[in-house]
Amino acid sequence: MNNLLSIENLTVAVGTKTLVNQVSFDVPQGKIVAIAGGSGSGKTTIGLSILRLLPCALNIRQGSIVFEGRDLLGLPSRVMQSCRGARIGMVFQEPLSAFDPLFTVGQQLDEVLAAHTKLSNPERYKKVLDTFTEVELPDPKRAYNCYPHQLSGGMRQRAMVAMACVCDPSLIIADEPTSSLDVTLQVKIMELFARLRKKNMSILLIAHDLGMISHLADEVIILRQGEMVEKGPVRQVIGRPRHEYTKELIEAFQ
Amino acid sequence: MAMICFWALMILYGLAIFADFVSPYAYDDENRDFSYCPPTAVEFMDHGQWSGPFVYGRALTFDAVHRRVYVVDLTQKYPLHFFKAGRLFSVDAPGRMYLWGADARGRDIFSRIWYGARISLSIGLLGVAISFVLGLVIGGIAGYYGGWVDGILMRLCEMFMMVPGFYLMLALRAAVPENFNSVQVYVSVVVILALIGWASLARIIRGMALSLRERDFVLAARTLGVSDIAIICKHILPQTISYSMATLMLTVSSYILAEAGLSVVGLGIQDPVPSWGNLLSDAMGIVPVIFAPWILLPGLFIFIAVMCFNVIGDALRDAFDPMFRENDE
Amino acid sequence: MINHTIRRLCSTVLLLLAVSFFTFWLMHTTPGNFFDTLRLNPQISQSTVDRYEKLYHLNDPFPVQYWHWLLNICRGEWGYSFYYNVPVTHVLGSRLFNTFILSFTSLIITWGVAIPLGIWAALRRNQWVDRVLSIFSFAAFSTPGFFLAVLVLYMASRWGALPLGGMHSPDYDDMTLVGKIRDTALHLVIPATVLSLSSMASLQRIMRGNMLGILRQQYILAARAKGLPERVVIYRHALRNAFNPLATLLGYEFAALLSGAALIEIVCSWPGLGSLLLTAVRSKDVYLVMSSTLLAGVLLVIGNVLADILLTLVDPRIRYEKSN
Repeated sequence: MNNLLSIENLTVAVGTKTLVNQVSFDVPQGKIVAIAGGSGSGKTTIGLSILRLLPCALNIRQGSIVFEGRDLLGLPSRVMQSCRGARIGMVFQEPLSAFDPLFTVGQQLDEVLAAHTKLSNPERYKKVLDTFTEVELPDPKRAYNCYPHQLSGGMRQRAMVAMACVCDPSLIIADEPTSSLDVTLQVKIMELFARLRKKNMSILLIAHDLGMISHLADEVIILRQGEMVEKGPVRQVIGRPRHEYTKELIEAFQ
Repeated sequence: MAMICFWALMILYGLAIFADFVSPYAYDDENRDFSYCPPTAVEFMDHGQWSGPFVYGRALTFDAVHRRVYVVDLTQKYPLHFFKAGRLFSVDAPGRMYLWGADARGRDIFSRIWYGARISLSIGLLGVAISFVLGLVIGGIAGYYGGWVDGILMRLCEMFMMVPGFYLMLALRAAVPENFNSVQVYVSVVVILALIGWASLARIIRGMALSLRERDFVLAARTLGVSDIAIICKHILPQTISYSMATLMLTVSSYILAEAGLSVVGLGIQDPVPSWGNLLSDAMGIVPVIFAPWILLPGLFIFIAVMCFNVIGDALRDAFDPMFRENDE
Repeated sequence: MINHTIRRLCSTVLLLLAVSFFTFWLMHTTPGNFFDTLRLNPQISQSTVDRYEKLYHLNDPFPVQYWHWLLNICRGEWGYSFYYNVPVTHVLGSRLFNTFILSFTSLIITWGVAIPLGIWAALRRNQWVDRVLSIFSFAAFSTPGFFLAVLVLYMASRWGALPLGGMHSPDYDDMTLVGKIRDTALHLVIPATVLSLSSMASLQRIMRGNMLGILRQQYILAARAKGLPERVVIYRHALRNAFNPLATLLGYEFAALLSGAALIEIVCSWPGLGSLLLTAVRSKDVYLVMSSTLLAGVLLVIGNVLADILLTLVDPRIRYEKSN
């Protein structure tokens, strides 16, 4: 079984404070791996580290991030840039703030294709509409010409997932993708992720809701204050938790 | 940085208050024999011998193209007297001491700058005080009551903001009778300044009052039956003060500039009463400046005062308004 | 959007009326019947004085006078300038145009320079470029405009390459069209530059602040996560968002510009609306003062309305507010 993503001994710090300490885990192909923990646990930092989009003050002190056979941390920035969006996509927590309010949703998907592929205008248009259909966005043609604030919350989130998938990446990093949605919409987005997994896409799910994780993820890593507390298959970690903190988390979401 | 400016301002105001003491001459002390005299250096060595601070005499001559030249007369020594006749330093007549040069009528620019400081610096403060009170009252009422009260008061504000400042100032000034004495002119200028600036202050206060009104502590006060006026005075206004302080500082600087602008064209404070603005009206024609560049000095002081107020205002704004804060993330 | 614009226009018209009333009242409170002095002035014919007395109903109560003045304004009869000895409209027209040239040029210079500088400062935050620009900005908007004008004129007199004031050279009328344009442009350099300097300073700081705020937004991170080249992230996404709020500023800029221009005009002897007003005030030329002030108000209103329209065009959130 190939590991799509292999993180080893990742340590991220800002000044003297360590945010992520010696975290190691793998994301196999076609699986959903979740990183769970409370706030301040460093989960978002890990997600941003993979894309090398950390704020300037934070440094990666140690570790390797091997994706599709290459260590991302050693890549020149141009190569890394071509990797983002094309091989790794990111879904953010709040869809309204992840879209530029001055451009239509369609334009914002189109520019990803324009940056990474050599498709012509009509080809890109078709691809965007196809992606909208895949994420079950109703009336793709209309959605294409809508500005972000004109779409409903659920549709926006689907559009954001579409934006992450439009170049058919092999890994999607989803940072709290359902936190800002109501329960019914959460279920729908979870179903969407499950469908993506069926297409052999891997998803690194960053979340704090263990309930959702237990339904959706294959493996889970529990983080506390930047330290890895427990990791393993979901059924094992959540069904038979060994660490105190894991138990606390589970109870919080019963 | 802001602290430096604060102390600089304190020094300026201090010197202005003690202008009588610090200046060697009264502001209207003229001597046409010394028109546009360059700055007189304070000497310490007379023909190679130490001799306490003094000033050489000067004689006026004209050169080949009829330009003024002041020849230093080494035979005439005028020692500096300290603390004589209530002045920090001075020289006996007929000697004249012009630390920073003389203007067209032979008046000491150094002295006039400090007397002028009194006017320029105080006008700014007074004008802002009035604007602030007006702005607080009107803005506070508009923001608190909302509805049609707000509507009317805001339209009133817009009306005042609608005419560009300088034009409004001139128009208001035109309404002031010609025969006002200097005190009345001073008061009119203060009032005019206050009138051009209160509107934007009022808008800001109203905005803050509007948002504060919805806060819990206001609701609590209302349910307790506290009267509206008390609520406005005791609860809403104090909260607006911290942010208003920043705006106030910036307004003072714009008022100092406005007064200078008005005076420089002769419509503000009138001669012989000095204000930094009217000290510069001499300099408005290019020719005097070329031959006597020291008459531009009051401009430097305007710049310093305004810059200090701006820096302090900016610093206050950074401290109080989270929008402007720049985190190092 | 149309409704909104119409409502705005209506309220501004009302406001203009209020301004005119206020100006009129102000002129009226000037003690002394202005026309008495005129009658004594041998240069003005008795028939002119009589004509204006009738036109403005000077013997009627105040509100009636105001009403007639307003009617006359609408009819194009803006009063008589006693200083220049011609109807006000003759003087206003050319002066207005001159102020307009100056303001417009200054606006272009200001925005053309301040926006890129603001972006540059934001992108090089806290490096020496940013700090230098910061100090320069503070210095620029703390300096009185007229003082700066004098300093610049002084330096120009030393240098000798630029004309020192006024709008045209003595032999203007003999020049070809191209020559005339060039001549005016040369005369424009000093006043426009001085006028631009202080508004440039504050605009640059605002642009920098906006840029920094936008660069912290989530959608900028998202754009980078999509793998867009940095150039696209900055110039396509960050810039447009940072620029939008400035459209509202355009209205206020206009006000500050007209206001600041007045004093610079006076110092540089540029024959515009501001220097006209100054002469009018000094000579207590009533109708000229009122008309100039009113005109300034009108210009401001037009500027604001244009800025509003610009904003709705540029920001889709406002445009599509109602359509959902």
